[in-house]
Amino acid sequence: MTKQLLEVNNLRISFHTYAGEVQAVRGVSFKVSEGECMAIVGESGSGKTVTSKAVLGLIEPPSGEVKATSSITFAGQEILNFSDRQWRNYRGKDAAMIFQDPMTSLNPTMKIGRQIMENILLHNKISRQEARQRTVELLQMVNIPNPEERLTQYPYEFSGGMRQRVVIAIALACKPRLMIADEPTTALDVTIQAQILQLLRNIQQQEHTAVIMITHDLGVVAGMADFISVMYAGRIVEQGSVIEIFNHPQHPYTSALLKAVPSLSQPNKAPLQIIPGTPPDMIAPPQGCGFASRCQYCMKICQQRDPAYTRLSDTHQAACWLHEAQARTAFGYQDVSEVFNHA
Amino acid sequence: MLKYILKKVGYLVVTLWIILTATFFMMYTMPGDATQSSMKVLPEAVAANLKAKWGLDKPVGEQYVIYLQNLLQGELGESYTTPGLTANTIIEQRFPASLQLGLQAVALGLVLGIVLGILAALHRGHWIDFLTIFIAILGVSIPSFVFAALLQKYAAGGYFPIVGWVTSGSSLADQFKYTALPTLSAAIGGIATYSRFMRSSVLDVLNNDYILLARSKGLSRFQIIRRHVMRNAITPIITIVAPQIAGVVTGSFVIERMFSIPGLGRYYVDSVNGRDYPMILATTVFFSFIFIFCMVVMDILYALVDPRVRKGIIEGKKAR
Repeated sequence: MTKQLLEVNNLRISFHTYAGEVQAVRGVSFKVSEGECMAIVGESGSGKTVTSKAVLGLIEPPSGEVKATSSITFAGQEILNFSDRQWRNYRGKDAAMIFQDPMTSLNPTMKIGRQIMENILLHNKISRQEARQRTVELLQMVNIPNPEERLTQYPYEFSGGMRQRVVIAIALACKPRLMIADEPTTALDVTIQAQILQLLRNIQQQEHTAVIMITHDLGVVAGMADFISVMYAGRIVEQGSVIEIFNHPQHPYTSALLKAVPSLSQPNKAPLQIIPGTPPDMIAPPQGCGFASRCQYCMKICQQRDPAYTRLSDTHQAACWLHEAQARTAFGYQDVSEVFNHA
Repeated sequence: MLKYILKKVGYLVVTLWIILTATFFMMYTMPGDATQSSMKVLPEAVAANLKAKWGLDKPVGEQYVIYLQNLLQGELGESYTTPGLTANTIIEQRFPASLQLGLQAVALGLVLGIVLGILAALHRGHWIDFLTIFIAILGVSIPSFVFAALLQKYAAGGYFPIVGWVTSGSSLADQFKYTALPTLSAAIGGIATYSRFMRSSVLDVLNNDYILLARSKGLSRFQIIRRHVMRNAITPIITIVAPQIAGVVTGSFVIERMFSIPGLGRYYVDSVNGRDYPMILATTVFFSFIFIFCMVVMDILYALVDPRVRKGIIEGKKAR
């Protein structure tokens, strides 16, 4: 059994805007253990990035608010009560983040070397010379050729894939125990995506780092993650190991997502599967299940009450009324996956 | 880089020539000349004599050639209205005061404007933000001579003299005493402009992903501002500052007049009224020179601050 590193409990985050209170995250809970990769999957606006920012304390008041009932513990410590200084010590050293768009996540007027060294010098009491040495090692680690030379170059002299490697090097600078990768390959082309994912996987195994991988690309998840949390409208609708989610999806949204992935074996002109409709307005989130309005199995209860989690195994749970005994007897099925396959 | 600078200087010379030619011929098309504009009416013979002396009886093409020849030798010509004084001497005597006033005003404007702009951006919606907006609106909408007059009425008289200027040998205390109010009046427009620009520029930069990355490294607020915000936010300021420097250094003639500062700005207006051709040309060419010079310096500064611009310059050279 690996040691648990991060536990998020009933995380609720709202943003106060002129239009009203946007409830971006509505009660999210998950755990990540050391050396484990957890993927958060969901479409744009489902709250996955907001969740990850909260783990680094990057939700900024006064517009952003992490509700008082929320709890995030890192290595047994409640981090939501951190002071400014504690946050600064934690960020970059214990937990680091890789951002989506490498074209904008590096400071255009600062040399690459300085941007990496800055992180090292901030958290370690070492000389500039040693920090420089470590920077060269980091650049080697993320497979950047001629690191000595590259140190003194500016971001514009790097391609997108190279920049993302630099961003990863910055994240790795202080050997963090937790790395959050927020759609690290979305802005890159497919061949570079594969390289970056491979790199992340190698690093994770070498350094035994826990990773939270945020993505909307199920292909990315399949190759990298141990566990998956599927988010929709600010909640986790289903959680499980990769095998459980891919082979036995237990929530209509997960099932629809998987069906939406085009397959090489399907006929050439076969229409792409889509999920009709749009996510709900988070200023006035629906009373019942967030997915109800787009769900083809929607029942009356779905629009009235939010479903609780049904435990399916030690690692697998889903929030859907279809798991309710009443629904099962009424429609006559044993397992929810039967319903999805017949559709 | 050197080639780039040389090219810029080349443009400077060509632009200057165009400006001076245009001014020369525009002046020629103006009705009247120096012999008619003075208060006293000159007898025909005297006017003719003067015209001959100044070369005004020659065809305009010839006048232009003569003027260019003199200019190439560094002679800007002799003033008509104050005989015996050459334009060179007048600029030499008068420009230092304008320059000092201008530089002080720009420096004050930049420092206050940038600091206010950053503070306002960081504390959006707080009193410092509203104060900055207030100053910006006042500074832009109220002309500087109104400020000058208000300062003379309420701030001057005790420690600060109402009018007057320093000489080169003045003590530091005197320097401050005499230059403080004019500098402040000349700077108010700059403070307003720079603070507004800086505020929006900083807000712009703060929205960038690299600021989020900087925060996620664990940098403190101050470190983020100093290392990641400042340099990126200041580039737009450089663009607007250059023409303003030229404007303030050469042209706060209203302020110069109000505080009786022996600067160059006043001479410009007087020479236009007096149809003092050599003086008009000399000051125009001189002001244009300063203006274009500031633009060239701006281009170079821009390249120094932003590595991407530097790259553009080097690659542009390769492409040609």
